[in-house]
Amino acid sequence: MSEVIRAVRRGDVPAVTEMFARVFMKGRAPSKSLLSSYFEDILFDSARDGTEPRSRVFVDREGVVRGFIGVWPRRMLLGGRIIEAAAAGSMMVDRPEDHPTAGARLLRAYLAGPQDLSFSETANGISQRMWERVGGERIPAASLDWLKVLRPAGFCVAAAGASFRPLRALRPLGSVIDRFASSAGFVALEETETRGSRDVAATTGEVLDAIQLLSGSYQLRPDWELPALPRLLAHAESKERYGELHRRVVYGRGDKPVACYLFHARRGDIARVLQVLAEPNAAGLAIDSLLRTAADLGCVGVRGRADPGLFDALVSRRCLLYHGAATVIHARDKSLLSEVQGARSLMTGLAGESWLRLIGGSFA
Amino acid sequence: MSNHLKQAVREFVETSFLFREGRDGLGDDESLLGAGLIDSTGILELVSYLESEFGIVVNDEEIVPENLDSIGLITAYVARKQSAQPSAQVA
Repeated sequence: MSEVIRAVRRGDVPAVTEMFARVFMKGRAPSKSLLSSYFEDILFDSARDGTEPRSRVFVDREGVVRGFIGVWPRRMLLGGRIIEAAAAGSMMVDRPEDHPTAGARLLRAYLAGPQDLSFSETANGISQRMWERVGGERIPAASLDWLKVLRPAGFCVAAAGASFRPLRALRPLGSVIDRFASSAGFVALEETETRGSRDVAATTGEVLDAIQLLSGSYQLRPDWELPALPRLLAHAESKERYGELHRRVVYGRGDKPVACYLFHARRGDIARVLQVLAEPNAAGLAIDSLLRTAADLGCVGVRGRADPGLFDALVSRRCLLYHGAATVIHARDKSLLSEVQGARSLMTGLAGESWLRLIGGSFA
Repeated sequence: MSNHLKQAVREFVETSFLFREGRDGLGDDESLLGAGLIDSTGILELVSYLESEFGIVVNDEEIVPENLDSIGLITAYVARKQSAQPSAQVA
């Protein structure tokens, strides 16, 4: 029997689950049954309409599944025309020293799929180089993360506790220091200009409407039908390791949404932004509202993926911008590649892979 | 088997991978994967080079150590592919 790359099958789920837990959930102990159920859901959802799953596995000579790449098809609109796209993530190879060509074969198999545009918003350094070797490109402006520290001592404790759990016991001390610093005027969010706007906690329906409306200004964006936006949001609701999902809509002087944002938050932790969408002149309002809400919830910092439309608002609010996971794209049609590079693109968060519970879910 | 072909493969491998390891030479049969000279990224780089330089199409199932793990194996593999594709151009 020779090594093969093929579409994932239901019988592969236990092996994929084991591999994912080993590779991506080190130090945690997920329930294998919960994680398996989740893989069943996301891998074979498309099978409901009779199409073959697009995710691929690498099978070794003994017939054992040793590699995996998750492929999440989605329909997008580029300047009004339909583009079939597929995001990829969670690429992993078990015992790569025994299967040195598996990663390369998995990536090539994915890129050879029927989609017009392939992309990933979570490429690490190795993945990015692999994409570039096969003609892919990084989108620099979509590869930046941002960070705002709200409570410095608490932030240090949370950051250290993420690496070494026992340090979380220092949270009360961090909280005391931050309260002292705040009362002494050392730490405070700048006063913001609301310009008659108001921001409110939104229902699922309200935020769905706002996302559809506000994503209209992007030249490249999901069609929000395949897959359906409510389904993506339902997945994103359950990222237990990141905390509760907060959905807010910012309204201008009228009743029309000018921005919306979604983030996961837990008191004493760093809030993680899933999505910020704003009209060009409302980016500052959105970021101000987000930082204020996160601070009110007791978060010690906020981090998220930057978007060129937010750069000015983020920099002027002294947020730190840094290179995060890369957003990479690939297309057999090179003109499409350059078109996407030049477009204002929405391909992260709910539009990418970050809606998946594989990122941030505890499965415990 | 063409010495020209082997020389071209050797030059590519030495230029692309060997200098990173600070090594001077490489035997025809020395394992590139075993020596840690090529990883998944390197495999893609190598495959891309073979396809563009020698006009062959490397099929997925052919991306295995048996075809790509040494200068000798790569040369033999390319020669086999070219003989199966008579119109292919040798660099």
